[in-house]
Amino acid sequence: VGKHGKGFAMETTITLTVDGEERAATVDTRVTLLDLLREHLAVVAPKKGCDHGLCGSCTVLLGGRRVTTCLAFAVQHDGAEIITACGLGTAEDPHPVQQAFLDHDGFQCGHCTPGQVCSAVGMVAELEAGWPSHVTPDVASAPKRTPAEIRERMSDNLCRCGAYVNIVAAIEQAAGR
Amino acid sequence: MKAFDYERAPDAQAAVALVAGRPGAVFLGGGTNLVDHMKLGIVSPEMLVDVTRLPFGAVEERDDGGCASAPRYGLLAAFGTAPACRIEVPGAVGCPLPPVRGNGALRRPARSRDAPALETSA
Repeated sequence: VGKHGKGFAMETTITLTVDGEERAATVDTRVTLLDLLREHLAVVAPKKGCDHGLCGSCTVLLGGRRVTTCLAFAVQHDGAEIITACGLGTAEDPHPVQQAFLDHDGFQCGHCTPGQVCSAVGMVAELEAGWPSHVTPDVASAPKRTPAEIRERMSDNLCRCGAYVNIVAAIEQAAGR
Repeated sequence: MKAFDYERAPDAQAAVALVAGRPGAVFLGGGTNLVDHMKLGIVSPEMLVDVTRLPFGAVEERDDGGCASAPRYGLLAAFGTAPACRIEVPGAVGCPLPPVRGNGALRRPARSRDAPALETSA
């Protein structure tokens, strides 16, 4: 029975690994994974854009899979392993996707970029695993790394600067390796 | 968002019992509709029963030709790699559930059963 009068057991302590570092926090069950990262753990690579799972700017890799953290409750992810865009590489040794975004100017203001990069890493893995998409012409065969596939698979990551053309080029480069 | 209790279901039977045993309890899967609607105040469940860690990590062809599914939207992507689901499910054209988007939501998000539609245009 919690302290809020209605019997809700609201406070929970969770431990998770963020970019290779073990972190813990005691949070209300209502706290999203995004707010846990940004407000409680000061991990600010994932950005809060829409907070409704529409813009993709809060995307991280959770257990290797891309996830919009604004639609996940922190309490669900006790013990999880999270990689943000910051954890993918360093300035000296960027991840191939990060390098490709630099090579192709795959951003302008950069707000959506951490989410784009994490989403791209997850997307390439999904493509390599053979998952078909809405635009895969023959779902019984392995999907190909076409611009149409990349655009479809990245369609949940919005860029209001409109860097899409360069983002697709960057992912083509990164996925081609 | 109104306060709620959270329980992670250890198995399918417990999940069903938890939701059946408490009015206002709902299952929490991918959350792409439910959490969004909770934020908007459209739904206010008293308890979330998390089924995302139930041990259903694969899609299997059943004896009757159908598919046994997984609770997480993200795992529904596995439908795309299950030959039986791709081609042999009656009524399915090509792949019934391939269009998993970046956030794990389906390409054409289903509306929550208990919530009014948010979309103003089709």
